[in-house]
Amino acid sequence: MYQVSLRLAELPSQSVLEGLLDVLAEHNCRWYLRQWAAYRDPPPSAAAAGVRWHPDAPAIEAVFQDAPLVFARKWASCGPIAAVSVGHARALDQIRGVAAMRARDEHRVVLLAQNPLGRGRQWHAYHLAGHRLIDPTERMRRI
Amino acid sequence: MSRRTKRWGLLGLMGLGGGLLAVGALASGSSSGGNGSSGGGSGDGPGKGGSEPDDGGGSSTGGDDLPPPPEPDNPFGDLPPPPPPIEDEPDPEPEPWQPGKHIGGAKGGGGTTPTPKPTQPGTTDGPKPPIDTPEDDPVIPEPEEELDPPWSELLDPDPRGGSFYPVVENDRFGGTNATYSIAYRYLLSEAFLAASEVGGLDDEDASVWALAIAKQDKLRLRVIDLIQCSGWNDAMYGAYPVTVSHASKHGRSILLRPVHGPNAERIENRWAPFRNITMAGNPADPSYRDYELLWLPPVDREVLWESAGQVLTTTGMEWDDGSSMENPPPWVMWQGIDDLSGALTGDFGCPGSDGELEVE
Repeated sequence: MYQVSLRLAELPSQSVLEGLLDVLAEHNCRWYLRQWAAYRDPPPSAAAAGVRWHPDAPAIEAVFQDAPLVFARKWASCGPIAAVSVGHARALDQIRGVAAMRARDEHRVVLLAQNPLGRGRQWHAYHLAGHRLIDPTERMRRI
Repeated sequence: MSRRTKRWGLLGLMGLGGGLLAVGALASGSSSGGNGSSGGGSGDGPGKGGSEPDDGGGSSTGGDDLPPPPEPDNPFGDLPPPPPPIEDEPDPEPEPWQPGKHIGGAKGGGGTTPTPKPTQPGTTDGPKPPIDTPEDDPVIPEPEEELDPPWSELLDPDPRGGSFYPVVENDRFGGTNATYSIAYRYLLSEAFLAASEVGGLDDEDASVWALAIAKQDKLRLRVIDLIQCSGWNDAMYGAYPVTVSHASKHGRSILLRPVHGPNAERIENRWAPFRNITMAGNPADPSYRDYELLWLPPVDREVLWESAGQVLTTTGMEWDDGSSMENPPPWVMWQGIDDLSGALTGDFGCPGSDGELEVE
């Protein structure tokens, strides 16, 4: 398990964060596929694993965890939680025969501003499945 | 009169508030789609109260051949009981109103019977006694049901979200042709409105922003998916893809071919539109030569703006009854869809999408 950190001189942009979360989601997708290939049955989502959602404040440092780390820590911010959801959905599509590229395009992590008019933009991560916007933290307990 | 009645039910899988959207098809056996029989559809869908006996008396059937009245002490004797005063067709059990129980007969809709006006669920319209209106009396027109949104607001020759777009010759989904590219024009419209209404840009800046969005190939592809993933569009026009078409997640494409019925006219007249294209992309009845009438779902413009034009989502875009705007408004869905093609069966719309429909 790895924890990948990003240290920038300024607040990361939306596209930078989305790019990182996409990589993380792809990593999670492969992790799910490996688990299923080994006849293991990992939780399908952070919520199902009992993970709590901890909203993080805007910062110059973004810390993302992959699915097993999220499940082990039992808490995470919205980005890694959405990456679990997207990774799981991509993996499911792939074992149903959808091409990897198509599954990657179909399921994406997207960030939307939570308080567009307020000071200091804060993003919230969603799972965009086709044209459906899913908030994976919607029913999660919050720290 | 050996008509075989086939009923279809479109069940919105998501967000339809549990409403059963029935799609009716009165397939006349295998007898060539479409011709003639028309008189027929006979709107006799058991309208609300349609199965109620009409105590208005009227001419009981076959009056001359009625058996003699039974003896008083032997009410039924050996004779069959007299027929009830009026029964059009034996109806085993009363059903709620089913729309669209007819099929496109003659061209132009002329051969079909208009779909009976639906009675909105939950209203107090119960069965009513017949009202005799002698010809001398002034005829008071029935109050028109309010269609929301009205047809005049739904049909638009420019592609925009939340409207029907009548495809014309040379139209195509992709590309950046300002006259013929449907996805490009749709994006220009939606992005412009997002930039001006949500982003507060003036017209010039909004146009520049919209142009930058509409030029992105990937976004145009998502618009094509948005249109093809609508259960209604897919049920009406979805066919196996061809070399130049883009197949959406359900594996089908809309081919933009002039092989369809006059569906705009039919919907406007509150008749069920009908599917005339086979899965192979051929017309069931080759005499129909109209292009598609596409439903263009609206997207959340706030999200479009906030995501810098990268997220096209229909989440939260719902009609008053809770059904998804990935499909046309409820009053259009109530008309149902008739079928000449034999292909209107199974699931339509992209799997997992809010606009997915199941045709029973």
